[in-house]
Amino acid sequence: MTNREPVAANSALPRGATIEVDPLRRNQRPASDRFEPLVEIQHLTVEYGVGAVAVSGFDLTIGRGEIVGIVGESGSGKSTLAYAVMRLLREPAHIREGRILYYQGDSATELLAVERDQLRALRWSELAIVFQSAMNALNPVMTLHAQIDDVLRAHDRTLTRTSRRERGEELFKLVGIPLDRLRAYPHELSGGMRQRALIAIALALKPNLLIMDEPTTALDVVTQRQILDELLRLRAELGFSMMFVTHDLALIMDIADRIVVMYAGRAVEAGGPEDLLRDPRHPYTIGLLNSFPTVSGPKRRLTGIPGFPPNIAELPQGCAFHPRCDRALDVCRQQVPTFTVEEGSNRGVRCWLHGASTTLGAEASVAEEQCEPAKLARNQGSDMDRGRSSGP
Amino acid sequence: MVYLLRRTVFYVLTAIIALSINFFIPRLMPGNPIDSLLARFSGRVTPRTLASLNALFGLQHHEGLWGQYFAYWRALLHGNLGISFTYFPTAVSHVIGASLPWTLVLVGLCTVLSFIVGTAVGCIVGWKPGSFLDNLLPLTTFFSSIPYFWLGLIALFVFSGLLHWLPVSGAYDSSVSIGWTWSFIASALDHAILPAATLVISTISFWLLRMRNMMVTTLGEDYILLAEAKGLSRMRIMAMYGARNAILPNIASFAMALGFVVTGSILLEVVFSYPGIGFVLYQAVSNEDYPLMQGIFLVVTLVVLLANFLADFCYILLDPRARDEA
Repeated sequence: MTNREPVAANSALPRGATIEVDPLRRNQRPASDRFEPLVEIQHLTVEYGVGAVAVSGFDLTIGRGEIVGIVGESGSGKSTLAYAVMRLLREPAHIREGRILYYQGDSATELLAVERDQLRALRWSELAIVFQSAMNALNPVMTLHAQIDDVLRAHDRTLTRTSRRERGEELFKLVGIPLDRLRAYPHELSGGMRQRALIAIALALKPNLLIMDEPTTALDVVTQRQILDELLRLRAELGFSMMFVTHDLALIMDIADRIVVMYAGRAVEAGGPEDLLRDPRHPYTIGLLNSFPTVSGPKRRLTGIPGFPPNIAELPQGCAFHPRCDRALDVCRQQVPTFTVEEGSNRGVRCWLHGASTTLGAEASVAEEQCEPAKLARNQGSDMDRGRSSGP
Repeated sequence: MVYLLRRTVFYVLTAIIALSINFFIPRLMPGNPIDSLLARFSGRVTPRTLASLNALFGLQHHEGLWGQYFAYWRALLHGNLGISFTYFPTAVSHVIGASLPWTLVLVGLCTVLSFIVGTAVGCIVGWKPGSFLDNLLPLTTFFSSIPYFWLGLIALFVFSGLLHWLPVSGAYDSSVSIGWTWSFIASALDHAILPAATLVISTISFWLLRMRNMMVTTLGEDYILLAEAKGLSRMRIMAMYGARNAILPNIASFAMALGFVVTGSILLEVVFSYPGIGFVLYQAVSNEDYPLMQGIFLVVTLVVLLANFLADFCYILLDPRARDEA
């Protein structure tokens, strides 16, 4: 069961799991970086079976203590991406290409290359995941305490029963669940409580990265808000990073330090929430923003986006969004635009309307190779003024 | 607790109704057991014998149906089930007492064994669907699709008839006396091998297939994925997250299967001439032995109700969700 997703055998990547980070390369990072890198996803490509590419050449760096929102419609590959980072993909999904580096001190671990035992040790103690439906994610025949207890025991055999119980109580206090609920079974809790319990379990081993796969989608708006506030407080307190996958752009704008908009397995736009709200560039982002009302601000027509997300097995040629785009050019129908990062900022967009070069030619593909990796990590303090502390 | 109490009351009521039906049905049938008994003695019965037989079987006509009904209950509560015709003049309770243990031990143990082995193998096969272990499935399905009495006949033909490895009939060698002696136990085991093997082989696939399929379904659940993400060991995930949930629907079926231990064995015991309750029931039916039939139906009713109660209890024990609905 564990580790079912095969990493392509013919991958040209180095197989060694631990990689020394070139100190020079680290020093090259601009001093303005707010966050030290924690996880670096490089050119990740996930395929379902043969030919259905769910995530395509995806690059993303998540900083320590940073909240990165991944936004997209159903089928955009955002959940696949989240599962890939945890190496939880199941057949027929498999990782065709790419690396995921997890930084610990001066070395980095290649998550896709680690052996099963090392993976088991890394899971939960370094990376934890919170699923969308807590009802389904909790084992119905075990008490909540037993579900915290077993992960504590699995990772540290020296813990005594008492210390494990204390840790369970501590975690429940942390997420605001009455302590007597530790003895409860999942079905005895309300939906919001269950989601909190799931978060408590995720925090059991103080992970550095919390992957949230639509953790609040199944909840009512009030509970959603409470849990998001709780998460921000916990992030400030514990300093973990979050990769927050959601389809709700309005929600993620409220909490993320940086947002990546995904479409058909690719990042189409990235930037701070303010930037995206004030100055969305990709027609898809603009469409998303026009799909929901703002509470404050002027009244405007909600337009939505015409058409449907494409079938990942039969992506249109060129930019995958062009059939739904009212501003599509000829070049959009022929060639996938590169992800172009604005110099000295964390903004990037994959659109011929905003590319540095809109001419067909060799430079375009060369540019794609060169300018994608890691630039996304360059996050400037554009949202420092939002008054949220962000860990270390 | 309240739930269990409620269930208990329900089962007691069911038992009372079932036992009443058990009383009325034979009496709604035409004829009279004494007539069939007389037929067997072919006229060599004096009127005085007839009267005493009537008294013995509680068939004095002046008592009326209701009188008989209450007499039936009185007798039942005293453990008096009447006299068997087939084994005349042995009491029905004695006939059942002598045959029931054979069935309970043979069929009961086989049902338990079949369930445990089938579930364990099903759990392992379901853990890795599509692996080479899946090849077991057609084989077990083949054996379960063969009627088991036919399988029994073939087994008898090969192992007893041709090879003379195992005895043809009975539960023990008539030359050894019943008791806790090695020779008796060895003889009983020798006689039990064929019927036991036939029964286990023909029923194991049911449990195996069910457990495998439930396991496959369960493995698709988010909580399995979460358990994996938690970095738990494979054994822990398979047992506490997989099997622990997958087994729930099977527990109820298992308790029901235990309820049918008594009746399910008729063909098997007839084929192997095994002196269990099924064999006795077969004799009773062929001889129109109403008191014996009634006695056996009583046992069957009680066992089925008990098994149902056991199923309820196990479910409450194993599934916290059932506990709260209760």
